[in-house]
Amino acid sequence: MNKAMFSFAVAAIAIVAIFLFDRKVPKETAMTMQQKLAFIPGDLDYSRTRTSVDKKYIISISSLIEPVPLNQIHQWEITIKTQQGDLVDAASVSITGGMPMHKHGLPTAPRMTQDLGQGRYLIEGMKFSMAGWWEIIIEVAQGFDKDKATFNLILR
Amino acid sequence: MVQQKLVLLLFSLFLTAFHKHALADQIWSTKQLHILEALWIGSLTDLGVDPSNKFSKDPIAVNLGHRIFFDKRFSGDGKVSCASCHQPLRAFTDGLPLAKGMGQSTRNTPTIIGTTYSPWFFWNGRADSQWSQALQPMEAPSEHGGARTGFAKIIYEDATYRSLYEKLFGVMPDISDKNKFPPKAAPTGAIQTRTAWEAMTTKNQKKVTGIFVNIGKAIASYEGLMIPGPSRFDNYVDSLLSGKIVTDDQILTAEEIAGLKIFIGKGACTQCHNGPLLTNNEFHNIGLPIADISEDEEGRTRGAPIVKESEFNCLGPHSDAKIKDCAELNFIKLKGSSLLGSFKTPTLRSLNMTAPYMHNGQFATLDSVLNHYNQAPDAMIGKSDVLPLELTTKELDQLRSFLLSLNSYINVDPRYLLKP
Repeated sequence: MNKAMFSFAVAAIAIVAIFLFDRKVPKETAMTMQQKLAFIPGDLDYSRTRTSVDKKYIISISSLIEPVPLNQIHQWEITIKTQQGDLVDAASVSITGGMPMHKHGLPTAPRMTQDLGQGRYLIEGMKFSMAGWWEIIIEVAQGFDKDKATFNLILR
Repeated sequence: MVQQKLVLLLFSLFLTAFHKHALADQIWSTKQLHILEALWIGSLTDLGVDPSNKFSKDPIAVNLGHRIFFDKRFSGDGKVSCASCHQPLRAFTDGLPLAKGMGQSTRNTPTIIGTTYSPWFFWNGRADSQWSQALQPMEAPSEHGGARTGFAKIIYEDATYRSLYEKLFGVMPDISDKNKFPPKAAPTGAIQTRTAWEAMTTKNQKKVTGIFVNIGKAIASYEGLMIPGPSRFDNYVDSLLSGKIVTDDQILTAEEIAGLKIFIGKGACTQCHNGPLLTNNEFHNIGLPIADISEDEEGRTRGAPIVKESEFNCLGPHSDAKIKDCAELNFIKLKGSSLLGSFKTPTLRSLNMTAPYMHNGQFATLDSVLNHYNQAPDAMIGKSDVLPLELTTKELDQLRSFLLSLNSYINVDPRYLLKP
């Protein structure tokens, strides 16, 4: 073994040692009641595109600031299509949400402020004031075709 | 030989890259480190000029505000200044359960430190800027107990004040006529004060209110200087983030580190006490004991409509902001059961100086605060948003020790903490 190979071997052992050490982070013990309020279910669907409950619309949402900020008021954009892929214009869009574990709503009253055309809508006044699991509920109405979709979001 | 040196150099670079990760992870996971970084004072970014107060960073405004803040002439009896309750050497609080000005207030004096970052002011958030907050106590009968015509006249008649004022805001209107501008007139307060105000012309009322608002803007400019310096907690996080070896008792004690783990873990405290000022500046009902259930105890339910309608809000005629700068007010939540009985989350920095705690000064000590959270009784008004912490006595001690590691000096030239 030449010196270079020896050095590589030392480096490799050091890397392995670092990662083994990494695993020594203590695990959390049983949850307190308060901690349960901060509980995040393991099977949440975090997709930003969802089919509405009655399958009338396909709704996509995106924050104009990523990662989604904590304690900062900001804007989102949503896009609405029919199941056939047609863009939905001139719809009425409302937004609600909250923290399911805390059973409270959003800290602000966000609303759709602009129909951007091409099935796109601007939502202003979004804010998340607590770390944890939030739901965003988008309700769409075009004539009598009302439907809604719920999105999950984790704030760190 | 060259090859060997190259290998060793690469190895060193590799270790340097992982150094921070490796050392910090002796105690903290990557996820926990991100949480600590978010709480670290180094994460506090400069806000720039307050859009609603274009003078907020002006040194002349700071000078003027500094002088007014300590000047007892700005009160009904000449005995109360802002600094009477917001005492700099007590982290801008007064050590009392309830503030005492010309009379007895119904609220605990909150600190001013770091509040320039808050979108809402007062425990129920009934103001949305530091300058509009500053105006209310000046005319509240139990606080300064003064009137805006009297305040305007002090500025007008004092050569130093007038010079500073006019450098900032332009030439003052002539308010020397005692008949047109009575010494104690305001749209609020005692009946004589209000009657005198109503006898004034609308034009003259506007002149006086304009001066009154500018006094608020100068005070806010001064108050905006009060930013917390780094605490031992911040030094600890700073060391972790820069990859230095941090052992127990070197910066934080083992007990404080254990408390920090509870704070971001079992205690779930960072749900609301988040960000570098350890507050989300929002409103929560935490089921506090209430001696007198009155509409004052409705908290945000009462504060939200007041700020929405206030002539001194971000969208009002006295604000320098554009509509787009007032997003918090434009999208304010006015209804909802979660607003009832909810009060603003306070900062946790400088807790050693800010007792008693809570909006009514309900708790004299930090231990009694932690005991409240540990038991989390049902709310007496509205619904509490907290559940029992279920911590042992030892864990509560650890948590208290950590909270006190957040104490720090104020990151400002000390002369601003003294009367000019």
